[in-house]
Amino acid sequence: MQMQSSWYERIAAPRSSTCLACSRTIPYYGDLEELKAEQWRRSLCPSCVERIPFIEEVGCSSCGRHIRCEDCQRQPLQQYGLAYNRSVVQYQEHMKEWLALCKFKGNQSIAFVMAGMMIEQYMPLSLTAKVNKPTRSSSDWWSMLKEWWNPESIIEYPDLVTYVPSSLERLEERGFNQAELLAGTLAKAWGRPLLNCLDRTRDTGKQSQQSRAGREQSLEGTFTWNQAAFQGIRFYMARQLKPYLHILLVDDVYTTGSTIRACARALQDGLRELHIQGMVSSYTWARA
Amino acid sequence: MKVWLYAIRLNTGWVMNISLARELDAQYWKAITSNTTADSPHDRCHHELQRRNTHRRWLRQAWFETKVGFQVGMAVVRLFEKESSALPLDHWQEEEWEQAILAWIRKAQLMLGQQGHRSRKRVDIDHAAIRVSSKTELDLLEAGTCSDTFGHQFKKRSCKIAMFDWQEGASGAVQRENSSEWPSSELDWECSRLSQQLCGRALFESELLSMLSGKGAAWSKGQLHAVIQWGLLNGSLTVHSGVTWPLLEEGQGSMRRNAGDIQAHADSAGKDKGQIPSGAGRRRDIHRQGSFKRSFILVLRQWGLSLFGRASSLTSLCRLVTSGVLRWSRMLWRREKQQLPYCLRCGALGDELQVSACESCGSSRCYTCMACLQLARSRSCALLVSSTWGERRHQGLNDVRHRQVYHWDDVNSLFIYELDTLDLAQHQKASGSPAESSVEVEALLEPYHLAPAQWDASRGALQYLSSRLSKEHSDQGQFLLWAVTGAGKTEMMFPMTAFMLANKKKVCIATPRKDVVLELMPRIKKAFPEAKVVTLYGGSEERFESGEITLTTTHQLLRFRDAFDLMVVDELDAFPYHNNPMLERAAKLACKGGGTFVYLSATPPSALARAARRGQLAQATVPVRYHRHPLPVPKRLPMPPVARMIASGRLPSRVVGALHHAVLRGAQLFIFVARIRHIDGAVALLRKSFPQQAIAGTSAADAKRAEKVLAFRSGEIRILVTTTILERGVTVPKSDVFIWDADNKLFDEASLVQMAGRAGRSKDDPNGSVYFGSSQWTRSQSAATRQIRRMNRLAKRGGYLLAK
Repeated sequence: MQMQSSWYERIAAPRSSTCLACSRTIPYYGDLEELKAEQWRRSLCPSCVERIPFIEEVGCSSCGRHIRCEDCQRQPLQQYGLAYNRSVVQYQEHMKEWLALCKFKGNQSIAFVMAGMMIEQYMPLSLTAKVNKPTRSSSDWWSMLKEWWNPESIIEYPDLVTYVPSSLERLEERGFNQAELLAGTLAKAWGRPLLNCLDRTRDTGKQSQQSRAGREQSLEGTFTWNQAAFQGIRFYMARQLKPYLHILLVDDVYTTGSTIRACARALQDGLRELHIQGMVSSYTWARA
Repeated sequence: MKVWLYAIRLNTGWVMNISLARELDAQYWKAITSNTTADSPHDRCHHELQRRNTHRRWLRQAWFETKVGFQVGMAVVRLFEKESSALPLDHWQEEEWEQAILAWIRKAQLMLGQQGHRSRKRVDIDHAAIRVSSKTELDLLEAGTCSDTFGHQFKKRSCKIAMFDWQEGASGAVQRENSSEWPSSELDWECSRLSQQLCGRALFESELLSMLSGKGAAWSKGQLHAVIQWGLLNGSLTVHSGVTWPLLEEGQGSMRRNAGDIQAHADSAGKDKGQIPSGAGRRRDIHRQGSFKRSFILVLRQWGLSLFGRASSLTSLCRLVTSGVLRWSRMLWRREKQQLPYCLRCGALGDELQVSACESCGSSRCYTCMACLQLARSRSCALLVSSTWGERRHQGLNDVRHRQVYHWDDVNSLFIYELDTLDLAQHQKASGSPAESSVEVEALLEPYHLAPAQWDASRGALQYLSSRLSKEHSDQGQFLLWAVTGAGKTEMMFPMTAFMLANKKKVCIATPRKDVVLELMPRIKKAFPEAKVVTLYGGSEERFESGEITLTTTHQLLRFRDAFDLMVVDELDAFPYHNNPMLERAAKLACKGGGTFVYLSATPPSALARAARRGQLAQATVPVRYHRHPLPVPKRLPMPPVARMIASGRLPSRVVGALHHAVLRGAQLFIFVARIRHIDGAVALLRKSFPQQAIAGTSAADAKRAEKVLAFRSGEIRILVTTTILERGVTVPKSDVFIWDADNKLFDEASLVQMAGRAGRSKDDPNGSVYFGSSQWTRSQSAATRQIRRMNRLAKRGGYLLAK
C-alpha cells in the first residue's frame, strides 16, 4: 500500500477490497491503477487464483496448447508466417466467465489481471519455443554459463507489440478492444512500442458464433495493413541496429487460430512489402 | 455516442441543437416551415420556439444538461432567406463557427468530468467538422449531401427504417429506403407507443432493443435512434447519460446559460465574435460567492425574525450566526460530494465508478458503473432513455439527485435525514379524527381472516396509506410494520395491496430472494385474480411487462423509475438489502415522488427502530404470532467454544442433556454454528452422542442444500446443523433451536432474534425452546433476549395473548 498523505487519509483508508472476479472480500490492495502488473494476484481472492488453469506444460510446441494438437500437424502455423503461439491459461468454464465479464459486461479491470498473468508467464512460455533458443557456438562459454545459470536471461522481449484489431462497429458498441488493453499493458511493462499495425476492413460477425470452416472463409482479406503503421515501422527500424524484427501479436483467446493466422499472414505480407525480415509470434491469454 | 450538432437560423434567432438522427431534424424543421395550414412559417416558428420556451427548456440546453459524452459534427443551416432582424451571427463564416464551437466543446468537456483534472484536459479538435451553408439548405442535414470530411468522421450509414407492428410481429413490415419518407404522423405514433411502454422505467439502449425484440419488433440501432430523436423533438422522451455529473446547485441556471448559449452571447456582446465569456473557469468562485451571500442573508433574515419574535440577546445572535456558518459549511461539504460523478441508474459514486478511455465517445475519461453492471452497462456515453408519459415531468430525471444525495455513504444516515416528521403529524391527526375512513378500512380487512394483532397493525397501515392518498405529497412516506417472526407478514400485505388497487394505484412487493418471489406469486394471484401480476427476478420471462402488482427481487428495481405508489419492502434487514446502499437507492428511485414505503421486518435496522421509538416514523407493531402464544424466550446454556469441543472430541454433559431433552420431546433440532468449517465437526460430535438420530449439516457451500432442507422439512432429518443462511424462511412445525457460539461476532442481535424465531412457530407446539450456547454473555445476546421479552410484554399489554 502506498503511504497516504495525511493522517486522516491514513486512518480512513479502507481495510478491505473485493475480489475482481467473485467480489469476495480480500485485503485492501489500493488503487488498481497503481498496482504493478506483477501484483495482479493481490486483486483476486486466493480461491480464484488457485482455480486458474495455467498451461504449465506446453503440449504442442507450435500453438502452445496444453495437449498435443492435430490442427497444427494438418496446417502448420509456419505456413501462415506465424512462428509460434503461446497462451497462459486453458480456456475452461471458469476462464470463459472471466472473459465474458471483461468483453460483454465491460469490466475492464479484469483485462488488467489478464495482462498481469500474461506478463508473468511470458518468460517461461517463450522458453519452450525452439526459435528462441540461440544457436550455440561451443566457444562462447559465457553465454552457456549464463543460460545454465538463468535460462530466462537469453530471451529477449519482442521489438514491437501489436494486437488483433476489432471492427469499428464493435469498438463503438463495447467502447474498448480487449486485445488492445492487453497489448497496451504488455508493451508498457516491457517498454516496447505498441503499434496498431492492422485494420479490420469489415465486420465478420461474432467469431464465437461460427463454425470452423465459416471462420476461415469469412476472415479472408479482412485484415489489411494500417498505412500509418508503415511509417512507424520504418521509423523504428531506422533507429534499430539489428536487421530483423520480432512482432508480438496479442489477442485474448486462441480457439481455432483462424483470426490469428489471418492476422499473421497480413503482417508478413506487410513486412515483405517493406523488405524487412521479421518474425511474428502470437501470445494469447487463453487457449481452447 | 455520436451526435450531430447543428445551428439553425430561425426568424427570431439562432438555435443550436444536437441530434441523434439528423435526417429527422431536417424533416422536423421542414414540417414546421412547409406546413401551410396555419399562418406564415415565420409565425409558426415563432410559436414553436415560444412553446418550447415556456414548456421545456431550449433543446440545446436540455441536451447539454443530459451530459451525454459525444463526438460532434456540425452543420449550420439557414432556414429563411430574409431575416427579420440582423444578428451578428448571420455573418459568421466557417472559422468563426469553428472557434465558437470549439470554445463550446471545451467548456462542455470541462463540465463533463474533466473538472479537477486540468492536466489531462484535451480538446478533440478534429471531431468538429463544420460546414456552413450560405442559402436556405436543409438538405445539408440530410444523408446524401454531407461532404467527405463528415463522412470520414461519421461513417455514412443510410438509415433504413422499417416499420413493424409491435403486437402483430414482422408481418406488417414496410421497408422504407430513407427515413425522410417516414411521415411524421407515424413517427409520432411510434414515439408515443415507445413512451407509453417506457412509462415508469429508465432503460439503456441495449435494454430497449431487447425489450422491443421481446415485443416482436426487431429494430436496428439506427431506427431506435430515429424514434428517440423524434421523441426528444416533440418532448415525449427524455435522454440522460448513464453516469452523470451534478452541476453546482447555486447559479446553475446562469451557468448553463453561459455554457450553452451562443445566441445570448452574440446578442449581447455583439462585435467581438468567436470569443465567449469563459464561465467555466470562474464558475467555482461565482458559486462560492453566491452561496456565501445566500447563507449570510439567511442568517440575517433569521436574526430579523428572532428580533421580531422574541427578545433578542447577544447570545441568540451568536447562536444564529454559528448555526448559519455551520449550515453553510455543511452545504459546502455536501456540494463537494455532489461534484463527484454518479450513476444515474443506481446512484453509485466514488470507487464504484471505473474510469477508462472509451472508443465509443472518444473521451479519455469515460466512467463505467461497476455497481449495476449485471443489468446493463451504465457509461458516461450511454443513453438512458425515459419517457414523460403521464405526468410529463419537465425536470425529467434531474430531481433524482435530490432524493439520493444524502445517504450514499451511510445507510443509517438515510433515515435520519429523510424522516417526514410533518407527514407524521398529519397522519396522527388524520388517524385520530375521521371515523368514516375506518369503516371502509374494516371492510377491506374483513376477507383476510387476520388475528387481532395483525388486524390492528394492518388497520394502522391502511390509515396511514389513506392519509397519504388524501393529499398530494412531494416526498416519499415511510411506514414500518414491525412484526415478530412467525406473525404472518404475508397475510398483512394483502389488505394494503387491496387498498391501493381499489384506489387505482400501482403496487410493488420487493423481497430479497428469488424463492420468496416464486412462493408468493401463486398466493398473490389467487388473492387478486382480476389484477395483472408481474413477477420479476433474474432470468424471468416478464422482464419488461408492467402490471398493477409487481412482485420482484430487489435487484430488478433498478430498471424502474418513478413507477410505484406503494412499495412493500419485505425483510428489510435481510442479506442483499442490508448494507447495500445501491438497492436502497434503487427502491427509492423506483417509488414515485409522492409514493409510500412500507417496510416489513422482524428485526428492523437500529436507525429505523430508533426513529420509530422516538415517534419520528409512522409504525405499527405486531408483537405476537398468529397463534397468539408468546415468543419463546432464549435460555442460556454455558458451553465451551465449538472449535474446542471439536478438538477435544466430546460434548459437555450439560449440552448433551439439553439436546437429549429436546430429542425426547420429539422435536426437530436446528443447531446454528458460526462458521462453515465447524459444520462437519459438529455433525460428527452429534452423531457420536445421538447415533439413532438422522443428522445432517448444510451451508451456503453445500450443493445439496435444497434437498437437505426439504428432507428436514418433511422430518426425515431430525437434527440439522447449519449457519446463518437458514436463519429465515424455513418453518418446521415442532422445532427447538440451539445456537452454538452465540457470542460469536457474526451473530448480531437481528440474526439471534431471527434464529430464535425458528422455534415454536406452529399452533400445535407454540412453546419450543431456544438455547444460546456460549461461554460469554454478550451484548447482542442480551439485546436479543430483551427484544423478545419486550415483544411479549407488548403483546400482554395489548391483550393479544390467549388467556391461559
